[in-house]
Amino acid sequence: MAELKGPGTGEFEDFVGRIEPDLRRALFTVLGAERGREATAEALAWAWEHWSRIERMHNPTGYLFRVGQSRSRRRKVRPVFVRDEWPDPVIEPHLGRALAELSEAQRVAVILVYGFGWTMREVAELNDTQVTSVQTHLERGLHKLRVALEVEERA
Amino acid sequence: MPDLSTRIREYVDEVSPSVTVRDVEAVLERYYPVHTPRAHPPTHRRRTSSLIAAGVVVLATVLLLQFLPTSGAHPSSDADAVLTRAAATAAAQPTANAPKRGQYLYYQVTQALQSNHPEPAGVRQFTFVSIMTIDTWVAPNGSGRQRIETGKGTLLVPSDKAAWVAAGSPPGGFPVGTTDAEYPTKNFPGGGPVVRGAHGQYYLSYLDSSKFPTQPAALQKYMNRYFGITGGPTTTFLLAGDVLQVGASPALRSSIFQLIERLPGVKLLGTTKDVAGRTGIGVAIDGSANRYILVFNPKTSAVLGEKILASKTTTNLGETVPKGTLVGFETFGTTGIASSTSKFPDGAFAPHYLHQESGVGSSIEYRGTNTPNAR
Repeated sequence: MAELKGPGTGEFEDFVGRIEPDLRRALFTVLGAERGREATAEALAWAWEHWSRIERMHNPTGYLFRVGQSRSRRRKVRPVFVRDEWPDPVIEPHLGRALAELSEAQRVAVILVYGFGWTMREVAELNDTQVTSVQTHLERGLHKLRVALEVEERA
Repeated sequence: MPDLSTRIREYVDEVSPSVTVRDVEAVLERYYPVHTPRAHPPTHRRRTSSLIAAGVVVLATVLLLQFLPTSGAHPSSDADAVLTRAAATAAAQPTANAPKRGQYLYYQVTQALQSNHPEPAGVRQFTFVSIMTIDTWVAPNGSGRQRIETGKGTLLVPSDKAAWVAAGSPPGGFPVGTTDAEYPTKNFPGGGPVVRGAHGQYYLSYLDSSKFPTQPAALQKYMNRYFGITGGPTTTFLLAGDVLQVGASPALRSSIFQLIERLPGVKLLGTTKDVAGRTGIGVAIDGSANRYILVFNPKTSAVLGEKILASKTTTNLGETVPKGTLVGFETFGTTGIASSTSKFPDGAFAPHYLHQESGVGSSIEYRGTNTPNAR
């Protein structure tokens, strides 16, 4: 097997700075806050290990999104037990609950497209799905979210 | 109030703050503790013994065949009767001790987890299964120790061996070795379940089930809220198994069996073995692609393990997983109260903590390759 080559310090820091926000937010949509962050760190560690492959990629975010989900599976079976006495650092508990009530596909579309301005094509490529599906999930998810939060539909 | 898109942005970045290069280094340090990641890239991974690897593949094949349910599914009325009996048995069991100050709840779980080696579009994917044995000592305040031994990954579908070799034997599976972490820690933890407490510290989670209601309907609502269950009956089914495992009272254990009985679509499988080869009674619930099986001892109501079988043949990224494939499992081992993180409940000494440095919460003994070389 070939020797693993890692990047230089500055190069990798630049890469993390560029990739991390989108990757973390995408993984949040499918894994939640805590596991999403852990999966982001795992995926970026994988990127460091496989730098020679990553640096040649046109769009490493989508690839690392899959890596993060794959690596996070080790924590998938057993749940995280939340303790009552540790308050959840949630600034909008109603929003969190409402997002949790969406289907995964709806949550991905709503957060990434509506919240962070991704194009529907970018989300479709991320999930290997059709743009029209993303649009459907976005519309249904937004409607559900607005109903849950009692936010008026935009004209 | 800001508009909804702004609220979503602020919410996501608030509850899931940025991951730093230091966080990534903490992950790499777990895998390659001897080599500081930035200064010294990981070195060559050793080739595995072909004899051992071939044995592993054969073993996986045998496991696949052996651990299929030993009888067909029966209608839910049969399941109801068996689960009602299990609930009565659970209610009659002695109360399990809860850890007091200075004590730890110890439990052991062995689980199989999948990992994919992601490939670019158009390149065939191979999924690997790694078996992890997790020893957890947890105090009610979330401090404790978690030791995870990860074995060599094997192909999820053993018959894919020839295709895998033809594809250049791409690596897979989680890194082989042992992680050993003391909690609380500021590093990303090596396994779970964990939670993050104040000041960026990670704690082990301690399930205090004393507040759980013991009426099935109320329990269902409470569990939904407590665990944030949005995945439907299959999620409840698996979580119920987990709660049964970690020191629930007899009344709660009884209620959990009644809750499982109420879940739609629960079937009785009859005599079933867990992956460790222990015989019990199996009940199952079907998800969209998998059958989830809970195996328990009818004499004590103790949960022996859970198994997940593919309930239909699926193909993803060129990889076909046949119906009946064992795609995941957990087996539950010893549980009890330990006086320290260096002892088991029976007083025997646990393996020494691998390594500890100031400010470093976990360490790893890296034992070489994660490549299941099948040649």
